[in-house]
Amino acid sequence: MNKELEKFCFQGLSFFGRTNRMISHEFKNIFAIISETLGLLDELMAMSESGAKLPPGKLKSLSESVLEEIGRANEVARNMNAFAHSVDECAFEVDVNQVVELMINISKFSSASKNINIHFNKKSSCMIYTVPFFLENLIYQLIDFSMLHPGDDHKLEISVEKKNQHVEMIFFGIDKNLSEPFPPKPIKSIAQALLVKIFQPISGVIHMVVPDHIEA
Amino acid sequence: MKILLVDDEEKFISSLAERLEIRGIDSDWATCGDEAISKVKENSYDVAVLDIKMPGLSGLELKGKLETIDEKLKFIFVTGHGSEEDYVAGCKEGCFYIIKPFKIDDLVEKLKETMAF
Repeated sequence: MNKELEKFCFQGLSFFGRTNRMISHEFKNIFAIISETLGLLDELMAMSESGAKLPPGKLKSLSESVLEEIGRANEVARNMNAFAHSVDECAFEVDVNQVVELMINISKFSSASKNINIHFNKKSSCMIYTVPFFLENLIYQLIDFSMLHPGDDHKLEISVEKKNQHVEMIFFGIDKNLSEPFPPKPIKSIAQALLVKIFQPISGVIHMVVPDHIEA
Repeated sequence: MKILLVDDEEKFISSLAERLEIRGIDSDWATCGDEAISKVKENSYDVAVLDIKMPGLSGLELKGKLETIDEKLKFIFVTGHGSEEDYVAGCKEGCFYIIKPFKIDDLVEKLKETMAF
């Protein structure tokens, strides 16, 4: 394997590893909440059995909290499952909207994202034939880059639109005075592999052209 | 003993604070670094229990800021990662380190050890 290909493969594995790390961290947070809530519930019940009065509605709010966390865990597992299926085959047809939504959901597990408000302008279905895992990696890297270089209002907006033989993807809300070269090498190499054109950011906006079919 | 819990998961720290109160430990909480800084400026705590990974200021960065406000304040780090990297970072700071989810008695034990340290 040549050095360039080796680096590229490692970058993909690194993305997969990072995503799994964030997902497992999210599960640990959920387990910690459930564990503390049930621990508190258990202690309050023991106190109640000893004659102490429970505040009205306390048991209900604690049980609702556990149910909410189970719902949250279910959502994380759903995203994890969708992500895992993206490597079922090398290339297949995907809806870019779904890939963007999945990557937004996954990037929300990153602590950095909690300071950024991400908004997705979904339009009509945007089916393309591509390498979904690479496309996910590219979109994730761009979201991550945008979160590290936010504009003044800390609001990232993504729009996707189907054109003739490509999909136009736009990221709004990047720092207007970027001091580092763009795109960074990891983004550039994935974009090249997917034949995606990424233009230099202008006034805090990144334009990207994604072909609707590539030979894998 | 008065402690400050800092974690962006509000439901986690509010339940934890309530359970510590049941055990007679005076507990307050904050969901971000800025709120923790305000609380430490206004109140006196013995130990701050900090989540390592938080939006904005990380637990390690927050420790540095809180130390400048109250040099006697002691610290315990909490993380969901349990990675070698976090462990080394916590140890470098000379602090105890506990992995989520944990048993409350383990935290109480760490709090006692930190106070005696």
